[in-house]
Amino acid sequence: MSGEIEMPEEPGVDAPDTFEFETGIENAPVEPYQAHEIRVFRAPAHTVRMTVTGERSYIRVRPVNASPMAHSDRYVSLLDIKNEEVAFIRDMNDLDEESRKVIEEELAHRYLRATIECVHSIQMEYGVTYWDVTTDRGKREFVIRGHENTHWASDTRLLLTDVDGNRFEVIDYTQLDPNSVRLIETNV
Amino acid sequence: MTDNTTTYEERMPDALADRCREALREGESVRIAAATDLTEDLRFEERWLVVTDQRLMRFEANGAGAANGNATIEFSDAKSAAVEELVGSGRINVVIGNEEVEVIRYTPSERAKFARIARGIDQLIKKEPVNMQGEVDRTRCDRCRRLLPEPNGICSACTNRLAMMRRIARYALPFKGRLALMVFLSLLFTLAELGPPYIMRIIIDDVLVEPGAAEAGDATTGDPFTFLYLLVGAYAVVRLVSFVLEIFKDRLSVWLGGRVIVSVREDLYENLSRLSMKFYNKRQVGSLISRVSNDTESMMWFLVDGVPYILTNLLLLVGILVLLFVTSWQLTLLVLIPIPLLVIGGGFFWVRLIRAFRTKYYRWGKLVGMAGEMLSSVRVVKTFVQEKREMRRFRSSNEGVFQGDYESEKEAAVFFSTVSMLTSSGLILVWFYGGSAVIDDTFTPGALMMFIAYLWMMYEPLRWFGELNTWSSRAMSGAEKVFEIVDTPAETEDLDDPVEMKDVRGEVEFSDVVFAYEAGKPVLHDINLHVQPGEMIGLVGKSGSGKTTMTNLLCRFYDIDEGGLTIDGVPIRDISLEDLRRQIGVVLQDSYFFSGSVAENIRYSSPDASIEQVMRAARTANAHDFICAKPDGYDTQIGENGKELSGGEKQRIAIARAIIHDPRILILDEATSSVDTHTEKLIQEAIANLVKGRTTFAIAHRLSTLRRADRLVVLDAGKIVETGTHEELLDMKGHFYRMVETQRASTAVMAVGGSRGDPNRDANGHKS
Ligand SMILES: Nc1ncnc2c1ncn2[C@@H]1O[C@H](COP(=O)(O)OP(=O)(O)OP(=O)(O)O)[C@@H](O)[C@H]1O
Ligand SMILES: [Mg+2]
Repeated sequence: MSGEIEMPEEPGVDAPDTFEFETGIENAPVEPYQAHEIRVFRAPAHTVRMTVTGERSYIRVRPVNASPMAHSDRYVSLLDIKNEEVAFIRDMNDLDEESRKVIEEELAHRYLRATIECVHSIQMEYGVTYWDVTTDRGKREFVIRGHENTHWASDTRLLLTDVDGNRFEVIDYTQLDPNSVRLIETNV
Repeated sequence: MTDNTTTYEERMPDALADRCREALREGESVRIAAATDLTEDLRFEERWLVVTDQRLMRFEANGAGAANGNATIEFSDAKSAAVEELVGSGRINVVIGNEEVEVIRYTPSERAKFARIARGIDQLIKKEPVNMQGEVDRTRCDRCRRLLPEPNGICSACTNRLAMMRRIARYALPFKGRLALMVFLSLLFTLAELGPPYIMRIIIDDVLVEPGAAEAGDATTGDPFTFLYLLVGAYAVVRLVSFVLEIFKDRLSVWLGGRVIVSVREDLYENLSRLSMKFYNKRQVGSLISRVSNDTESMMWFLVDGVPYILTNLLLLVGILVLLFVTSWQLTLLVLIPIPLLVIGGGFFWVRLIRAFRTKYYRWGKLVGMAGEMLSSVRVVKTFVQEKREMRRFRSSNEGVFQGDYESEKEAAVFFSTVSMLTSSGLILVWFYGGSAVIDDTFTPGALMMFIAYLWMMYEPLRWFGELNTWSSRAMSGAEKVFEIVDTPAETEDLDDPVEMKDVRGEVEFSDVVFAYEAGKPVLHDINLHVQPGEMIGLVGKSGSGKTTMTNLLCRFYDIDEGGLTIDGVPIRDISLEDLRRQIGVVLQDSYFFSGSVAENIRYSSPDASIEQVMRAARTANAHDFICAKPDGYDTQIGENGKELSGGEKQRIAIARAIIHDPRILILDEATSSVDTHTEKLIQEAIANLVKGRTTFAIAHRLSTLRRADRLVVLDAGKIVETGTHEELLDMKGHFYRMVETQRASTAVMAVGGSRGDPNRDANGHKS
């Protein structure tokens, strides 16, 4: 997909001692760059570029969340075209303003998990559950199969994955309207 | 939507269709029109993508959009298009200049469709012939438009119960005679059951209350005692007859239900073993096992207990109602008053009851699951000293089950008490009005007693009819799930007229093969490889690069999506599966065993092999020695996972199994990992013995394993990036060279192929 794209300089690949292979023998792992060492910006408009201050530039990086469910606001890894980590950001506040904004936008684009704000109906039939909800992204109907796709992340936080792989979340079901609370309590 | 693969058009809303027509230039024609369910800022709303032969346009559902400059992309500016899968959504990107620009977003529900469309756009941009072939999954029921529980699955709402019953009944057809007999016995039984209250009435009215009437009515005897004895005798006989009838009827129904389920289970099992890997990919083994056991079981209980129960009680109900009406229609109508109450009240409680029971079953399932998980991973639990935590988890779950149990039983108690209260209110009415009628002499005491006895008989089953409803729903949903599997066609089925190939030379050719496990996410692209008979190919590449996938295609666990795959020039799709698999042997890193002895496992593919052949194979596989060292030798029992064997032992047994199988094409997937050097040497030798004269595909991360390969094929991200002999690849200084370098750097012990004079190299001749 990125065949036409200018390849950045690749540190590490040419140095055999940093290339990890299934050998059982550990090499010293490459330390990824950290938040204070890097700057992230868009250039041109649709491409995320990362520069290491005063060193080199990665023309296309992809921010991903290391733990998108439990720690969605922290632990961001920047991957290069070959899916190798080039930087790891422990805390987004360590970044400068622009970098943070770009990364946050990219993450918001990458992860789509609609937050359920109101449950209109839940119907259980033959081991399949039909949901009709309003989310922060609009109304939606979906179908969930089996209990393994309904996951309580805590006593009140509910994570759902429907049959197609759409993701939904109830952040705290006790905070919803009484009808939604009742539906969730009796059906989930 | 058309079947044509060069265009793809969904029906546009009128406003949009108008706007679109206006927007078209002279000679421009629409090739793709598709709706998506996600906006560019990720809201669930309809957006439209319209692609012509010149450009790509985006619209809102009402037609707004394309006038806006950003909403149009001219193909003259673009280089290519592709999908990108994100988390919880996906998008089509078009490369413009040297950056990727998002064109449209979609939710995973539309993934397959947009994968096709992206391909079409790419072809349009590159001015290649357009081919958007590929199936789009059915996600909604054709009849009621409901979302389906799984793509291409069946709609639970639309499968009607009657059709399902008929389907089950078909399984009973071979036992027509017994079925008829059972119905007949049920009829007799019903009549016999109806007898006693009637006799009671005669006893009370004609013998006890008005002995005179008996004399008058029955001229032959005249003695009330004789009459009483006669009646009591009749009573006893009727009871006895109904007792005997019940025994025979129940036996028959148990037999019939059991037989039906045996055939259903047989069909289910047979189909499960025929289904393709793609089917298994998407399902949990646990849920399939539950279909074989639980679902067929719930069907069985319904057939054995439920159906006969419904049958006799319906007959009984009809009989009773007729008799009641004949006796006194006024009283009967009175009695029927509580019934609507019973139905409404029952319905109300029933909803609550079901909810409580559902919670209970859910928690119960979790508890069982947790216990099962603990037991199957007991080693891990112990290693990490987590018994206490597991116990805590279990305790809280156990507590939850108690709560659920208590709640549901509480509801149930209320429900059943209410039902009996309503029932007895009917009886109160009968006592009141019936009693008055007796005093008024318009009704006889016997008739009243009979009436009351029939009422009891009628209320009793009514109480359970509600239950029967859930019972039957459970059985029906069980039946549905079972038949769904029975009806799933094996995806990689033989053609009607498969080519027979008893002998294969072992020439394999991949040409332009594209393959995806999930539509839209290809894991292999443009694979081209021509393998000569007897050649040994080493497949190397990073984890996840598609090595195993290539071999899966060769075994035809999956069908290729595009391109061709032939064996001896015959397309793999045309070869009968049985012949194909007979010619292919697979040795995996993690071999699967069946419970049985070592010998049985080795001769799994050819059960007729003699023990000597088994031993010869084991010796060739370097497995003989350790097998003999076991107390039970070749008769050592191994469990399903071969738990009693070490990793290296398992591998050697698997190799022996492949040797007996004697395939022309051999696949070794990581057959030599995770063993010590000595064992690896033994396995290497075993493999060397096995490989001789067979076309071999060997996958290994330890490149040393592949030094005997004639040719190495390097895969990277689903593409073949290098092919050649060891030396050629090293000279290329490309991917392979780097891999070797890193491996050499990290393992001094395992020197790799290119280096002559390596002490490991002359290990071949050695026999232990
Ligand atoms: N059954 C499956 N369903 C969906 N995707 C799969 C399936 N099996 C493998 N994949 C994906 O296909 C890609 C190729 O997998 P494959 O098993 O062929 O890799 P491999 O080269 O054999 O890797 P390894 O060396 O780790 O065994 C991976 O990205 C993997 O996640
Ligand atoms: Mg593999």
